[in-house]
Amino acid sequence: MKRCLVALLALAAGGCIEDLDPEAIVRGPRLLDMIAEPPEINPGGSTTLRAVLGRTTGSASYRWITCVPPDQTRGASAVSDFGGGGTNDECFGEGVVTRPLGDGPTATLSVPRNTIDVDALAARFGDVAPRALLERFATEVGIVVGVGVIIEVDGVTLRGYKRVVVSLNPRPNQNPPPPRLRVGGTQVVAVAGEDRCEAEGGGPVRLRRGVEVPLVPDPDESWAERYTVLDATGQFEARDERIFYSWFFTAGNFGRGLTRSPIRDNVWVTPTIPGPHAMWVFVRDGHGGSSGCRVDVSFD
Amino acid sequence: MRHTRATAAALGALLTLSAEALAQDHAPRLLEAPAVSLPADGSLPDGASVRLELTIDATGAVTEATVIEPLRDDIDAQVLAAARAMRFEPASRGGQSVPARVRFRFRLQAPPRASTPDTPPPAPPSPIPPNPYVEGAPEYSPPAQPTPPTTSTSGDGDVEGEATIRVRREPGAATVMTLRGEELTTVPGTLGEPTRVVATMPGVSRSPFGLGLFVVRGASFENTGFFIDGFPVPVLYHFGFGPAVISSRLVGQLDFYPGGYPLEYGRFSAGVISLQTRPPPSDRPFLEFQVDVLRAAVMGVVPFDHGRGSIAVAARRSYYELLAPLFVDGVNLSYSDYQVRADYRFSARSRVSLFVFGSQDTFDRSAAAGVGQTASEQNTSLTYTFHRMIGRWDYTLPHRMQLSISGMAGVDDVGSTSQVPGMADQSFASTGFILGERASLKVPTGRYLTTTLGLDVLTISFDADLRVPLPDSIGGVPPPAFDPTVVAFRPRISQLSIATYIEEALRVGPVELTAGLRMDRLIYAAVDTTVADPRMVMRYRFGPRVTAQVASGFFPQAPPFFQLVPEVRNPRLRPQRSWQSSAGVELTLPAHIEARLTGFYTRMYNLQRTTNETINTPDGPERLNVADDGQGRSYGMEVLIRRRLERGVYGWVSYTLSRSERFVEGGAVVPFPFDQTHVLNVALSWNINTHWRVGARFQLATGNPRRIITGSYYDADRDNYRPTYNGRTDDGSDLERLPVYHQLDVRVDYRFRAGPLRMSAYLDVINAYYAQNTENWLYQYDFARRTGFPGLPILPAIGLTGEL
Repeated sequence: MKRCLVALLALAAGGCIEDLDPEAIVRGPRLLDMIAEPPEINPGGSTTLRAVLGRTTGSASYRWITCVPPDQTRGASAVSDFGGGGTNDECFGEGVVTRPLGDGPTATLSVPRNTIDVDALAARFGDVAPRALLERFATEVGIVVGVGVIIEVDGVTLRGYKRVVVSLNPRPNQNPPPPRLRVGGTQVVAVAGEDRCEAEGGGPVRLRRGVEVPLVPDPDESWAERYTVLDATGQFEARDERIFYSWFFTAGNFGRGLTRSPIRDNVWVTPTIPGPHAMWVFVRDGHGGSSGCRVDVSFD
Repeated sequence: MRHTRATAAALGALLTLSAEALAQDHAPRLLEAPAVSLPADGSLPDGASVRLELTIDATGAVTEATVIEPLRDDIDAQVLAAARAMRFEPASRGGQSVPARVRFRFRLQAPPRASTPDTPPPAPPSPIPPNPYVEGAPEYSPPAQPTPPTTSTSGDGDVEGEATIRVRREPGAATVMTLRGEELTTVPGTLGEPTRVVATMPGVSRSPFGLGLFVVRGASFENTGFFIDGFPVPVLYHFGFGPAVISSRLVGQLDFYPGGYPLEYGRFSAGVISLQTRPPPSDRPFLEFQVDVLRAAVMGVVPFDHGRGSIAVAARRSYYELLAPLFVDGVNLSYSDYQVRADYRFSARSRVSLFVFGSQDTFDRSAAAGVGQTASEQNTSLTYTFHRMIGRWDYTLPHRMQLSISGMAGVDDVGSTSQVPGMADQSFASTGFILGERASLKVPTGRYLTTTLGLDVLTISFDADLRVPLPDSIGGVPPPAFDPTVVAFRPRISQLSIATYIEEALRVGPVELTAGLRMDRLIYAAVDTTVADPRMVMRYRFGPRVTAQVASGFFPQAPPFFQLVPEVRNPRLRPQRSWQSSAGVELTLPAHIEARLTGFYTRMYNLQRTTNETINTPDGPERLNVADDGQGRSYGMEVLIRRRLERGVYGWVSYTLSRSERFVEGGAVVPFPFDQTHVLNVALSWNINTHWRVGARFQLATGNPRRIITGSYYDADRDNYRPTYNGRTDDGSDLERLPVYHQLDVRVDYRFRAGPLRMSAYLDVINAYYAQNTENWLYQYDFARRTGFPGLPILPAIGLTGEL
């Protein structure tokens, strides 16, 4: 009860944050997504990672690292007195073991065939989990390899973290297809090989200033997959991917920063201030997979 | 100074107004008086007394009290405070109530010595039932046959009277701060609410927004218990800086134990705030209303059977919902409460009462549905309702043995919803059925020894309907931060606690030693355990003005029920425990000032902490989610310099220097998030004359500690930013503190008459000079910028009360 009171006050604080930028506004250099292609691999496989940047002007330098996050089987909380709780510093906290992975716009993570050794897992965790559970865990859930990136661009340092799942799964997770959406009356499609979308038939999307523009993603989500988790009770559970859309804008007003079925649509009140403007949309499966693009806009 | 409490109710027993009645005229007659505290160390000479002059208005209230024959400063102050809070049947002339000035002699009777079995105690001097609300204290109630005055006068003439205060022994508490009378209702910044006065006491960290979440001696606010008439209640305050959940008119006394509370209480590992209610005045029908900018309240009292019994009904309703739309859309906030109390005195030795009360609070943002999409923008509602029914029987047995039996039945309903379009709703609803029973028997077992035996049973059964997020799964990729996996289930958690206790109080010369043992059998979820808690308090009186004290004891607390839900938490959590120790000295100073200096050290065990650990069970591997091996400690020093109400002036300076820490994995010791190194409260209130009272309160507190955020990174899978910190250090270099908090509150009361009504108007201005305090930091999504979460603005409250 007493915790509820404090939580309510925290929620009420929503009205006090006008001085802070909303997450969906991109005012300067910004890391908008990290995409692994594919997001899940088997031992002996590899994946290519790239960072999607927003509103940069100069060239960027990259430093990719892999990291082993703190022991996930123990957690790291302090005392659960109110305000306590642990830290999850993944690639950037103390005690994290890192290795360089490359310094280009993309990086390739290759994992050896012996990455998942059930015998080794049994030796380490056999006192708390039977071997059969570990085998199923390795096959259907998998372990996580953390990948971090530090980007220097336009005098700003950007840092990001992404998990790549390594499992024995014969059908590893795939990224969603590139987004398709309607921006106002224009159908927008992805440009092959680029993190960019354009009007179907080519060219930027043309809009008027200061008007309300509906943003309507393609409702087809039949590509969503099922996957397995080891849930809070220690039981395996199958789940369906829950698709959501992240929206970013250089200026203007917008309905929401995130949308998801059944209310996938969004609204953008286009900016009235001059300058090149763009928006970004990313489709995420909530399970490590994502795809997205930038939509350049020109105004009539 | 060793204190025992007396009740001026005994005044009534021995009061003989030395006035002689004219035909149909009579002098004031004492009807009601609050309890007071006096030393019970044998330092009072036989026949000691304090002579007073009282001015009693036509309503029977004491408007002025002065000492005309003092005895000793500290005792004079106690007697004066009691006298000012007494209520009289007003003097009568020609059938009309009139003001009167009377003189009283208070004869101070030493505390009852334990008598040997073959020496029966003296019979009570008059039919006084025991105080059903303060253990062991006799209490005044109007005599069935009013004592005739012995000297003649009425109107403004003088009346001689006398009274005796009987002193009662202090229970075995290490530290107790007791508030009564005007100290309960006129402290600036409290809106006249007795329970908010606790926030100004030593040992209490400042509560954000004045919520009344008491962080006492460095323990989490869940570890301090709220009791009304000996039984636990879930909350003391309404939402929205609201008042206490029962009318202040029914509050007779507030005891705050920052630690080392008596054996009669249990199940909380830090402090206790105990409200003792009192019977309403039973001399005449009574109606009172109160209206201010936020709420309206009414209370009525009807006596029956010539004052042997009374029934009181009170209700209160806020109207925030009328004001909230002026400031914010889609938000509803409201509360209401009710109390019904019946008292009846069967005889001088037997008294019963039935107290039914309840409260409901609603905070609802669901009307704003549709605007939120992330967890921080979700639409939320919270409703909290509880009802309690407490019956009590007090009986004075032969040989001054006192028996008290009480029972309680109650219901707690909590409902909370969280709605985000496109996502599964989260909700929390629980109904708790609570039954309690208490019995205590106080037995004088010799000249120096008093034994108290007690039984305290409490059973709680929670039925919950939950749609809550699961903790993260192990391995794989976690879901986005705003979209946790929500599961629905209906757990039932029961808790049975059977406690027995025995306390021995030994008083020999300047030494008083109270030692006892409380055994709690705790049965809940998958736990069945018995906890033995020894407690001890020793006082030594060095003289009439100096008393030293040491205390130590253990205190257990079962985990809150939501931590025991098997699906998402841990049903095997052991009770949390604390070992509390303190030492201090109490001084009685001139000018009616008392001072107390206390050092304390508390060690905390079995604190709950979240974890991802998995254990093997006969049913297979199981995640712990919550472990119970956390530890912590707190230590510090408390200073209280207090002037009790005297000549219309009361006030105090309380200062706490403390440190509260928790031990984390890796061996680091970190401050508790509500740790405040310095907490200072200064309160002063002055009764200028019979109409005006003015007062002010100043607060100053160190800001709470926060970890320094050194940067952030984007978590592509959770789709949010995560802060980064420096590593934990013991020297505190990884921490910063919120800015120092300071606030001044002022209050003005004006009392007047309007026809038959006794009226009082007040203006209470919270944060009078508009200190722009920061309660917390609010960060931008990427932690690159932050702004302060503002504290209370200037908050003026205007109120009006009337009494018929």
